Amino acid sequence: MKYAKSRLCGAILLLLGAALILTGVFAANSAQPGTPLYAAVGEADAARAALDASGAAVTEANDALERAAKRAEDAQSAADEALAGADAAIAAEQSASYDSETDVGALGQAIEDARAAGEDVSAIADAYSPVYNAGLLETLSDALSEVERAEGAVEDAAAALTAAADAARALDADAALGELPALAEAQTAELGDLAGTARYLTRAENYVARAQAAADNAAALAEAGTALLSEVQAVADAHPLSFGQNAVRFARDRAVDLDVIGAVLALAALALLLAPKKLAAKWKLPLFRKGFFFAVTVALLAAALHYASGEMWDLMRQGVFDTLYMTIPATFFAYVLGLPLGVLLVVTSPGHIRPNPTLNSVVGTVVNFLRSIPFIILLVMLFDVTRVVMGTAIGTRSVIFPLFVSAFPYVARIVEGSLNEVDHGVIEAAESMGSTTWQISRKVLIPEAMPSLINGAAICMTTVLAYTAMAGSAGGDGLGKIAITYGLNYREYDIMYVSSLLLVALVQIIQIAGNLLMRAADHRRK
Amino acid sequence: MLKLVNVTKTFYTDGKEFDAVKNVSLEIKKGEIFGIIGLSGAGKSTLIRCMNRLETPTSGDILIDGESILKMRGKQLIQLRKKVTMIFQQFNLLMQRTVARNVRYPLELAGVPRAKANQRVKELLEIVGLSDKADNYPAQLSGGQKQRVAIARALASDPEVLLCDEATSALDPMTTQSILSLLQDINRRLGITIVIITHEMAVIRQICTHVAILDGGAVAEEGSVDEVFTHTRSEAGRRLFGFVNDHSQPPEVEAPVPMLHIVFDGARINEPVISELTLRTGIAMNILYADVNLLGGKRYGQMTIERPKREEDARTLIDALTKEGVKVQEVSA
Repeated sequence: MKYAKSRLCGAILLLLGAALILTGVFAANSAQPGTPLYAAVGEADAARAALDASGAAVTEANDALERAAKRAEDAQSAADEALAGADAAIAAEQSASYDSETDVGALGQAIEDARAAGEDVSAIADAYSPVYNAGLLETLSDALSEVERAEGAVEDAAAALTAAADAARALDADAALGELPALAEAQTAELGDLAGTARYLTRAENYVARAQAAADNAAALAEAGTALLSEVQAVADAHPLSFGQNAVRFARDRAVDLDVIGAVLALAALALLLAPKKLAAKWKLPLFRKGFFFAVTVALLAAALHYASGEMWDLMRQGVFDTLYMTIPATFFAYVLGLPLGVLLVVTSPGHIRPNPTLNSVVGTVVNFLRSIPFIILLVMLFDVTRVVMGTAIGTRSVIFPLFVSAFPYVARIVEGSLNEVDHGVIEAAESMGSTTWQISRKVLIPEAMPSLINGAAICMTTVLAYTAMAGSAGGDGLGKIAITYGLNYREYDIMYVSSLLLVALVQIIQIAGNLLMRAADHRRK
Repeated sequence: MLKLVNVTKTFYTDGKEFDAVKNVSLEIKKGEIFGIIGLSGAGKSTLIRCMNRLETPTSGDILIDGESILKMRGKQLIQLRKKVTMIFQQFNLLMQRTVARNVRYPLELAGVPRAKANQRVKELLEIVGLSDKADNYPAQLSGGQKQRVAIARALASDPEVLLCDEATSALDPMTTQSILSLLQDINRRLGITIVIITHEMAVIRQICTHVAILDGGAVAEEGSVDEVFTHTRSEAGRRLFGFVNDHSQPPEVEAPVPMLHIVFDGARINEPVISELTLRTGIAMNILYADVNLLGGKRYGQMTIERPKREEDARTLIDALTKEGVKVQEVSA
């Protein structure tokens, strides 16, 4: 094949350009809030951050819990010591020769420790309250209040002991002998209080134990959390971000306009492919004109998509939908009526298979009449008819009817032109085989003219597409309406240009599809 | 089979009358290969188009098996066209249909069930030797192959008459030969009457049994090919058959003398008749024109010599030639 190498290079460049354009468009889109891609990338990032944060939190919680457990142990041994001290104090009181002050000090220290431990646990509970359950919290505050109550009781006991010690120190033999019975009574009462204190301390000890159990529980929870975390991590590792997502993120992070690069590459490819003949001959380049349509379309779409992001993107998507919603049915129905009319115009023409001057000129005149009225006027003239036919004369759907009325005469003329291209000899041959007019129309005229008919259909469709720009006059929507509203009324020219570019791109797509179909349906040269 | 009675076709263009066909009467019998030859504009195509009513004569009548076709309309006309089919100079195949679907077209018109139609298409393609091209499109075929498809298509409705409108004029000589052989084969095997319109002598010579010479829309001469060729009576015939043709100067002009026109049939052509006569009679002969032609598969020699000046020499020569079985025709100056 001639120029195979440069064709290949051109094609590769073009593909590369197209790929870059697409990546760039996605990247640009992902940087705009409101697009699905943006949301997806955002969610992925947030999930990663949450994963990292929760890992750190769990580790911290583990450390804190360990510290809390240590503190609880300390508190318990302090409480043990305090109890032992209390027991010793009671024994010393009973032997009446003990140093009550030391014992009272030790007891106070023990209580202080217990309280500190309780506070510590409480602080951890406060800090990681989302991790612990509400019951644990309650238990911890119960423990704290019990410890406070114990502290109060111990203080009372201490005051009594101090008084007793003071009394003992000030004791002289006589007074002592005289007050001994009363003192003994008071001592007995205080001893009873001390016994109560000891019970409170035992309860405090229980609470500390429960606090420790709760801490253990929290540790178990933390462990489970760690396990869950590693599981999540494993899942995350098993599903790494795809190449495309990474490329998108890369592009977004570095604000690289890949589509612009792609467009430049595509243009370079085009320049190669469309080089002037002389140059092409010198460099042995092909005149790859078919690629031109394609490349222009890709570039236009890329440009349109690049700018039509976020809110504008939604606007444009709706615009494209509305435009096609009017164009496709209107064209379809225009062919339902226009194709038979076109056949009628051809077969009744002079010298054709069923000459009928009267019918021919009547149909021809009606067609010419309708074709000569500009669409925007026809739209207004048909308001009442439209209301009857479509149920309403306002809105996107209602515009389909005037579009149809405007398009079918056009279709009839285009079809007429296509059918007139059919070789008269072939029609004569069909006649000579005994075909009826209907058979010639259906089996000869239309199939033989098929490539031309397809081409005509593409032309008709783009014409209808252009008419839809006037839909706004009847309350319809679509790209044309958007362009007029934003361009003319709001002076938002970017929106006008984007919607116009999309219109151009739609026309290109229709034309390319038409050309491809036409080529596929053409058996005359192969 | 096919009888034309005083057929006239007048066209009106720009208010002027023009008789494309004038008062033509012909009788074509079953099984014949009937050639109609004439120069361009002689009205051949108009005449053949009248035979299947693609054109309607202005006056006169056309009868098929005794039935006039001029009053036919609608279904009758469709039936006629199934009985009298046609092939064309430009083949006129449906370019968007494959070979097989082209041949199936007449069967579709007749409403033949698909399976049966496909079977018939297979047979027809076999007849024309294109079985391997069934799924090709006409654009992929050569001119000769296209004409074969057209022939198969024309045979699909089991016609009684096949009209050939300059069927070989767009083909090269080799392909023309093969198409003519095919037509002859079809005529013999299927007994189909063939009417051929042509401006090529070779076509008439090779396969026709009967010929009519058309000149200015009227029949100048008609009869069996042998007869018309060997005893050409009309000016148009002589022009076409080459006594007076573009390649040799007309003897009348070069030598305005009385002449003898001699025709050898196939048996004598390989013998040196003239030389022997000269040796035997001692009469010198001035040969003005000589030619050998193929006619319906047989070779014919024709020769124009100057009539000897002496009357007895002339008489001796004519007697001797006649005795040898050679046809002699006197042509005055």
